[in-house]
Amino acid sequence: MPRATRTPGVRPRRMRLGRTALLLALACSLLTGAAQLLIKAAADRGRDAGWTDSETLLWLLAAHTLLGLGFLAFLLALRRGELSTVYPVLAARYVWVVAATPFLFSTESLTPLKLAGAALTAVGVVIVARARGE
Amino acid sequence: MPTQAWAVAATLAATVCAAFAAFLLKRGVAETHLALRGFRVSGKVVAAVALYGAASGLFLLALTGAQLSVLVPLSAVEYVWVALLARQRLGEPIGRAKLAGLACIALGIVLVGLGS
Repeated sequence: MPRATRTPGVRPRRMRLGRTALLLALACSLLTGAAQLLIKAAADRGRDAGWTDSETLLWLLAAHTLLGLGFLAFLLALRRGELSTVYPVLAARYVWVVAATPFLFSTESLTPLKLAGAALTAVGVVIVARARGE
Repeated sequence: MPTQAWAVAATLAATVCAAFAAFLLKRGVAETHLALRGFRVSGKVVAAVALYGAASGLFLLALTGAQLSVLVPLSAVEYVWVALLARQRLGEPIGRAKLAGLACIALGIVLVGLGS
C-alpha cells in the first residue's frame, strides 16, 4: 500500500469507502458472524458428544473455513479502505449474531436488554473506529 | 445456560490475543502481496493468523460455559485493548470521542450481562 504524503498544515482527506471495499466488509461481517454461529454449534456438539466426534470436527472445519474467507475479505477490504471506515460495517455483526442465536440454539435466550446492550456495543465500536487518529 | 466465570476469563484472554493479532495485521498488511505474481505474506500476518487461531480456540472453550449472545458483545473488549496497545506502542492518544466509544462498549457489555 503506497504511503500517503502529507503537506504540513493540510489535513489528509478521509478515504471514501468504495463499493468494492463495502462489499468486502459486508462479506467479512457475514462470514465471521456465520463462523461464530458454527463455533457455537461445535461447542454444543463437542460438550455432548466429545471433541473428536466427526460432526463436531465438521462444524469446526466449516467455521474455520468461513473465518479464513472472512479474514481474506478483511485483508482485501483494508487494502481498499481505511480501518476506521471498514470497521463500522464489521460492527453490525455484534447485533445480527446476537439477534439470530435464539432462533438457532435452544441454549440461547434473547432479552430486550441484551439486544440493546449488543447494539450499544456496536455503536461503541463504530465510535472508536471512527475516532482513530485523533 | 448460566454464564460461568471461567468462560468470561477465556473470552477476555481471547480478546487479548485478537488485539495483538489486529496490531500485527495492521503492521504486516502493507508488506503482503496476495496477487499470484509476486505473492508474499509478511511474518507479522502469519503471527497474526496464529494469534487469531489461539483466540478462536479460547472462544470455543468459552462457549461451552456461556451463551454466544453474551460472549459476542463481551468480545468487543478487544477494542479497549487495541486502544491501549496503540497508545503504548504507537503513541496514539485516546481522545474524547474514542473514550466515549470505549464507554459505550463497556456499558453495552454491562447491559448484556444484566439482560442475560
